[in-house]
Amino acid sequence: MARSSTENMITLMSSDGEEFMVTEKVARECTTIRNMLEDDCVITNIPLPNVTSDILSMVIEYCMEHVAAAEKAAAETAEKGSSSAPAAAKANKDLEEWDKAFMNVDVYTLCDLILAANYLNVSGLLDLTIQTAANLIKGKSPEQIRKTFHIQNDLSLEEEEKIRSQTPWAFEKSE
Amino acid sequence: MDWAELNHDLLCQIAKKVRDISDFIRFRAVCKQWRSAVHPSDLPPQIPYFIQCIRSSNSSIDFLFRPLSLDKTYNLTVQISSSRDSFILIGSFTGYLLLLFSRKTLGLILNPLTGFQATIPMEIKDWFVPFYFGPSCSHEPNLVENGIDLVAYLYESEEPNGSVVQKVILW
Repeated sequence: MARSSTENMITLMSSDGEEFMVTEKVARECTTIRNMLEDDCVITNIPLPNVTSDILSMVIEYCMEHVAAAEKAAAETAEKGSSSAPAAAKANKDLEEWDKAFMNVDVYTLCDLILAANYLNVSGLLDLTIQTAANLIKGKSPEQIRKTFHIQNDLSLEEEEKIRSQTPWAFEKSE
Repeated sequence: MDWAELNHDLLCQIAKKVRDISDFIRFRAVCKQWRSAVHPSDLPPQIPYFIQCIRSSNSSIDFLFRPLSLDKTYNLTVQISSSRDSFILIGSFTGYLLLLFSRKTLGLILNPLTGFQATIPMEIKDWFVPFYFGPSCSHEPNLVENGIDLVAYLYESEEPNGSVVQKVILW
């Protein structure tokens, strides 16, 4: 397969001016970029003023991993005529493990990744980051949530009291 | 970027993923921005809860809730205005309970979490059986999410002329 030599390369430029060269296939994982390419197929240089280089490199890492996993699955299917279920299940599990390890980031990075995934419209990464944030919230009291995400409590005592009194059972301390 | 300033759409997506109602309520108690971003109606469909009525005084009913997904139980006392009769819990749907008072001429639709209640006259003579349409008796959250949960109650009612007819309430 001579595919890599003929593949178009796209340059993505982060808000702080760093340039990232990626294959068109990887860039197309971002629906926002895919739409730009479909509108104007000769585009090769895309500035992304909303994404810093740190975050953009992570988004690209995610897209590359997922493109590679999809290509591997497609190649195996082509080779054997049909995909073997255990191999596909293992590949899925490996990718899930990779996602899990990829989400081992601090809450500030997680927030920036959510914004970037939303802006670039990478649906898999958006789902992953949103779910990770939700998992950090589950089972925590409002105070513990504030501490986890470094949020200032701007509710007045009265407001807080009112919220609690409406559904006291939801604020019972879990044993 | 500050978590308190995340846009409403993204906050709402996160709130929908916490799933459990108590997590959802606590999410809305974190700060003003999180509270205003997420409306109570954004609560995702819930996995059914086990509910037990543990006591009834003249003016209140005590409920014990246990989510299928958690080991925790919640206690909840609801003031009711309609009747001091004893009652039975007939069934539930989408957060509403249907109670039938012992005189069997009065039913009460009650949402114990919001306190909403409405009495319904019921001329029920004999028996009262819940049954289900579609695959809804399953506790599969996917089925509940797809909105195909529909419960019907079948009951017999005595007409003024003495004949007995079967009636169905859809829930």
